[in-house]
Amino acid sequence: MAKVPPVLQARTLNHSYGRLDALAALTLDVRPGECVALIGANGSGKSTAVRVIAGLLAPTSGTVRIAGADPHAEPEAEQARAALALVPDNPMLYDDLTVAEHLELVGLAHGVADDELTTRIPELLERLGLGERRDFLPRELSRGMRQKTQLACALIRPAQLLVLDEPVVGLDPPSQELLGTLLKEAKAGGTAVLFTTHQLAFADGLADRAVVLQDGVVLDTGPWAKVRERARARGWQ
Amino acid sequence: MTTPPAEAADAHDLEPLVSSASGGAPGSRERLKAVRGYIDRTVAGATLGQRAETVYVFVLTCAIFGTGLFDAVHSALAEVMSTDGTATWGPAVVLLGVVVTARWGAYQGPVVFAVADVAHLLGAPLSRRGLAARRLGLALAVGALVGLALGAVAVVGIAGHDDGISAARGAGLIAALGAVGVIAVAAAWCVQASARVERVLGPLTWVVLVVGAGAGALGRTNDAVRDVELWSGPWGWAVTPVHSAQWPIGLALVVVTAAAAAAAVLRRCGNAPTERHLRRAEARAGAAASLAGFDARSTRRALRDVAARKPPRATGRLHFAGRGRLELLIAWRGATALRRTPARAAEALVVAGGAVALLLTASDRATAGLIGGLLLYVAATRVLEPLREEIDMPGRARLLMPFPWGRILVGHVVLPLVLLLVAAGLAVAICVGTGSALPDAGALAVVAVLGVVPATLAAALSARRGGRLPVSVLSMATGSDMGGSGGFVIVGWLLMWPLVAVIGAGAPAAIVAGSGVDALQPALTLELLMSAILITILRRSKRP
Repeated sequence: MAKVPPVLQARTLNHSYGRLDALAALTLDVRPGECVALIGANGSGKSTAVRVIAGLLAPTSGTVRIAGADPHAEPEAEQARAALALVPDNPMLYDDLTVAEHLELVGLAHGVADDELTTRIPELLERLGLGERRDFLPRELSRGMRQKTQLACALIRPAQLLVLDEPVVGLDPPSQELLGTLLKEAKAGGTAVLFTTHQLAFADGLADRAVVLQDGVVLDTGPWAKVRERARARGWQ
Repeated sequence: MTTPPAEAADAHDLEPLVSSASGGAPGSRERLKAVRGYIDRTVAGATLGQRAETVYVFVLTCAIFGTGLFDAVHSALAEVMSTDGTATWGPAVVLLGVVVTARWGAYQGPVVFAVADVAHLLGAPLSRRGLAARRLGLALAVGALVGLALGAVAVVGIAGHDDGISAARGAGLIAALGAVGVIAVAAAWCVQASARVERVLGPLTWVVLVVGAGAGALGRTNDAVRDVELWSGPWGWAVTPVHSAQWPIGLALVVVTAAAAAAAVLRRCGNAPTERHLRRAEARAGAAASLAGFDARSTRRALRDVAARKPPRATGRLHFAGRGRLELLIAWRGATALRRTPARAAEALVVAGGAVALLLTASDRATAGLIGGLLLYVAATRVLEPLREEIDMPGRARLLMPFPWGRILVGHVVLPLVLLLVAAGLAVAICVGTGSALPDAGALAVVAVLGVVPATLAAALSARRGGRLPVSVLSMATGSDMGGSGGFVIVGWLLMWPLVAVIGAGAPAAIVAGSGVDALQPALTLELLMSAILITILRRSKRP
């Protein structure tokens, strides 16, 4: 079988905040249908890595390619943005748009056809338990509901790479389980998935590989089961 | 590296996964148009009626107050503006205006998105240039309008002076300042879009201030210097209609420069990094929330955190010898903080020195006394940052320094007082040494230097309030029995401590300058009495 080219190619990514090296020499490939977990304690550089990969933070050095395009160089970044769907750790929603309107806007911005939006939005909202709140404004929603709305925005549009920063924070256990199911479906559909977490249990059965970060440096990497084993040996349950 | 699941790999290549985005999908421009149309349909903007009402209120206000305001501005500006003075100081003032506007780009800038825009619009495959150009174009137009308005005010002022200004030159000055407005906004965009430009601008502001002041001072007596000022760049070209015979050339140059600057920034406005848009969007959201709570301090902090700053200096540990003495401990803490932000200390020294020099050389005029007192207050605020930090989190001091709150606050005044007294002493030495001080220089020097004490204490008492408008003041201002004078309550609250500084520092100098050495005793009594009252208030402060 010919090796499929990676959707995400990160090469020796570095990022510094002044004197603090938040990320040092991160190299990472994620291929279609593959799920990679970025594991690490608070302040280990997970969110910085996600922000650099998603084009929100320019790397101090190193390169990122998403579907072959650099997310930090216009106009080719447009191609990278078409391929990447980001779910940030804090929901970034409009105060004056309802849940359903967010999905319509994101769909239009990504060129999803109107008739497809008409059918997909109710389906997706029902699936995420947001059906009855489709006409609610973000301020009328709980933190978890807002997080789910942000997730729906990422799922309503076509994406080759789904990047989620701490996706389980703020979600109750049933919602975490639903998230896991949705990510497995996305994976099975050929979408590459990259997520950060410090809850190893969430990655069980979902992640194919893992990268462990500590103080911005890659501490461990490899197949999920082996990384999990080594993490457990280090006392991380 | 793990091989991905084979079935998924076989089933998909790198084409988009949802069919509607591939072949036949709308292009970037169409998508942007669709998004704009959607936002226009969904988010309710002002109706035609509401817009017409705004215009009606504006026209009505101008009709009612316009004539009186025009007369007031006309006569007030005529006192201070002349063709000669404008030609001398105009280029420096215009350049300073451009630099200050450009600095706005370091904190916000002409193109600021909402946080959600950054996630959903800047994160979408839409043309960045398409998203930014409309906002930037609007900002350039506003810049031009502000420039035109300032130009009109300048013409009104100059026209009231004996020299006057012809209609053609007046129109030329207004147009030229409109063009400068465009250049200033374009410069602000360059700062907003580039961290490198932003870093260059910081020290440049001080250079511009010094060069502008120096050129203006030399230009008063030297025509060659003034000519160099007038033709040194857009800031000078804009002022040529006031003085130079070749003003149409100056006007043409500044208009062409503005057009070129606008075209250049509009062409490249899609290139700003997302990170810079996100930081500004988050800061704007934070500042708006703080403003809604009438919290000026938090607003300032939210905006300040946007600007690219050098990392704190890695200074060696400052030796602390005064073990057990609270005031010395706090002075050590303040000195440690100031060593990491030396620019703040330098600004305070320069401003305080300038204030004392002004009091020594010009306090025979009431305005100089007023400005001198205010500048001493401003200088003190620059070095009282550690005290402000204490006020921001009173609980922290409760844990780390379990001492009476008043003593902690007084301790924070010691170091600023020493620094400003040193600056004042240096200014006195320079003014007396160069013979530029007014008569009775000795008496004037004593009151000018001692004026530092009430000014610093007033600044500390202002900082003690924490930057948030208290609910009591707000409810008083909005109370039904205020009869529309609520605004004065808020302004009075804001100006209270600066006014105390003026009375304590500027007024004694003005008294001595006006009445001679005989007035030294009452002036000193005023300063000492005020200092004693202020330090008592500060010392009796209760922890918030």
